[in-house]
Amino acid sequence: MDSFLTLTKVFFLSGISTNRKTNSQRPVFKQLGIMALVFTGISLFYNISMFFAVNQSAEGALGVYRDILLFVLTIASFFTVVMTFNQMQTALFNSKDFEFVESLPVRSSVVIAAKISSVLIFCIAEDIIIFMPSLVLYLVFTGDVFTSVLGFIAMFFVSLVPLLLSSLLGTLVALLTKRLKKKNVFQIIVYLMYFVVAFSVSFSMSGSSFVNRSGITKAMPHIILFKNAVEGRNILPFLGFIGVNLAAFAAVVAFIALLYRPVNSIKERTGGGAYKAKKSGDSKLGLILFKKDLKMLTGKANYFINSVFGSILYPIYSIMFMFMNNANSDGGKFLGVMVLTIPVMGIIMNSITNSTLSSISLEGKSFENLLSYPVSAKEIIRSKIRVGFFVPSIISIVGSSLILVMLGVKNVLGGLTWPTLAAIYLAPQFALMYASVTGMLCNLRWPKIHFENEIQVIKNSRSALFGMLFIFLPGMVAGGIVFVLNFISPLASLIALAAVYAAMILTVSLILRINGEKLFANVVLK
Amino acid sequence: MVTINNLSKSYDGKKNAIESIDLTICDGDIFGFVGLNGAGKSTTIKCLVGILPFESGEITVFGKSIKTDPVACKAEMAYIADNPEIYSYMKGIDYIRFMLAIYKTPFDNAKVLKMAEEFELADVLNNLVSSYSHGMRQKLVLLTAFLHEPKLLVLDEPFVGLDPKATHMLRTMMQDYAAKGNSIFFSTHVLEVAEKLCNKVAIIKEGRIAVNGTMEEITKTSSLEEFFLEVNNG
Repeated sequence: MDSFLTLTKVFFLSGISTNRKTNSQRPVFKQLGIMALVFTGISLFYNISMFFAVNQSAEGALGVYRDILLFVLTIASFFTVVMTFNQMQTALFNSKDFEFVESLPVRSSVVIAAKISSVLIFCIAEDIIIFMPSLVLYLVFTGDVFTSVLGFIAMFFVSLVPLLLSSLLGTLVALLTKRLKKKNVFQIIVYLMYFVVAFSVSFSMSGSSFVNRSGITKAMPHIILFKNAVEGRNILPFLGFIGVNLAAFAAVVAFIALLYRPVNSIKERTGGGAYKAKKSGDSKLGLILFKKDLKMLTGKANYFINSVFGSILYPIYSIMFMFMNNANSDGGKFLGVMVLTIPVMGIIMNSITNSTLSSISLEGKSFENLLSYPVSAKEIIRSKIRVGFFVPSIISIVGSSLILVMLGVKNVLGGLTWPTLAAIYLAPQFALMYASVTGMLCNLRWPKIHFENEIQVIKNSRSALFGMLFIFLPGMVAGGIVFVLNFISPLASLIALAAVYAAMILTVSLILRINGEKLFANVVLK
Repeated sequence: MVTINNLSKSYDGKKNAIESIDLTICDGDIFGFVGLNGAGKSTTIKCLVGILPFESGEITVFGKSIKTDPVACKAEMAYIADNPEIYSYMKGIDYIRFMLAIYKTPFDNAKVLKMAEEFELADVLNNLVSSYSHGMRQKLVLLTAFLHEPKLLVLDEPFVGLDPKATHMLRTMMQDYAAKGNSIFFSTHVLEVAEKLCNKVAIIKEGRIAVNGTMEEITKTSSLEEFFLEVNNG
């Protein structure tokens, strides 16, 4: 037990630490605490809005409130399924610490349990932020102590089954791809397919949730036990819910333990055949760095997927949205109005992730070598921002085109004004441009060049968490502006959007121009 | 000529990791830099190659200041770290291409292959760097450094991880390289090699230069190892 707790603590802390001496001298949780407060504030805002909306609509029956609670739990659970797939594959099978931990007098199963638990802590923190306000509001509105207490306990388990599912899938992918010469390409395809399937399924299910209450927990079957407990006011199904979680944890850990060492010991195929001379033309410095950074982005499956995640979701969500609303459309009018929200989706989805959040950190120990090259910090920063914008931008343009094709198929394209059509292309690009510069600033401010696996940088680092906050929050605000103004004047909406993003991009660029080189030079200080 | 004048560097703003370092590396020098673990060798080297900013002092590389003109200084030298952490997602040959492009050196296929054969890397040039052993990575970095022919080679523990054959080859290459008028500044714990290879040596102790002179002067009465132990025990 001691080994398990120690390893869990070490794996968790190695994720959230940064390389700055000045930061490490501060209490570890101070910045995380500030961030949690802000996220809780946002969470509180949307939860209160949701509960008040239900209350005002005169449907404030206990069942509706409970449905909201179950819905939020399902959302929390679903996010874990989506966000931890490549995370677990990397943490378990692409970690530099494999040989070290295997040399310790600790069983593989303990190491695996600790690795899963360290990620679970992050998930629980996210669940608390997403779910806690709903739970408090539920108690205030209904006075139902029984469900509130069960809900509170459930919060600690709700992400476990999805996390175990991710661990199993990650193991399977590692097992199948480790021997492949082009394993990154294969992994990228698997991740993409997974996201498309997961979101498509969830969208259709969650979409029906408010129409048909029984659909709420369909996407996450393990929550049904919790649902049965609160609806039947019976503790036994709830104990079953906890039991299922713990039993699944033990079974998955035991199963992965069988494969952990063999899969991690597979010698990767990296041979490229005999070297043949190729003509090599001289390139400009900017292009050389761009190519290098592009190779870095596409050479690591989890980095690439995380960077383009939102851009891929944009068309998926938009098209699913259209299909869903087709079912209960009123002669296409409703669809035509809902199309106005597509730019909002473009902003929000493209604000989810960005490669510059981790691009400096992912240089890792080679960062010092980079500093010794005859290249200025400005050029390096510029190159990374360009790649961070360019790759998701191309994907987003393809996504926007796909949406327009779908609008054409549904005969609503001709009825839309040019500002709305322009916004479908431009809104995601504005968000991406802002995300690229802000991601770079966050990464320079909270670098993490020492890590055991890339996920610690891409997902669990302070740079990634703060970046998410600074990019996603303005994205939500900008999305709100577009949403409201779109219904008044799409042209005003487009102008407001361009103005807001231009101001934000210029501000962050200015900060980077003034402080970028200094922050860059300080990355190496440890 | 490379000069380090009165160089001091602190990591925490309180205690200096290195203090008042003065060194001069002339053209054709093979300058050995020795000291115990934590004495300040790597810090000095990282300041010299522009990785670490420093509070006081001045470093000039062939007449240019590393503080005011870092890119021009870096273009004149190659730094090889003690741990060859290079881009694992690149193939060996891509790494060479990348580095030559960064140093604005034309890619000469025949020269690359000849050097790769000398370093016994020709057969693995098309493999990803992630498949290379520590020694192979070290060889790849060294090979690349010699390919773009900088005026100054700065090496931090270059012999670590190399097999005996590669060690011998590197020593010979360093001697040939310096004989052409280029300078080499390297840190090492292998005092025997330093004694045979270097014409100048400096011993750093607790962040300060304890001894700085020609190898001839220092090893007049005792071996470098004996002298080093005497300095550090005294």
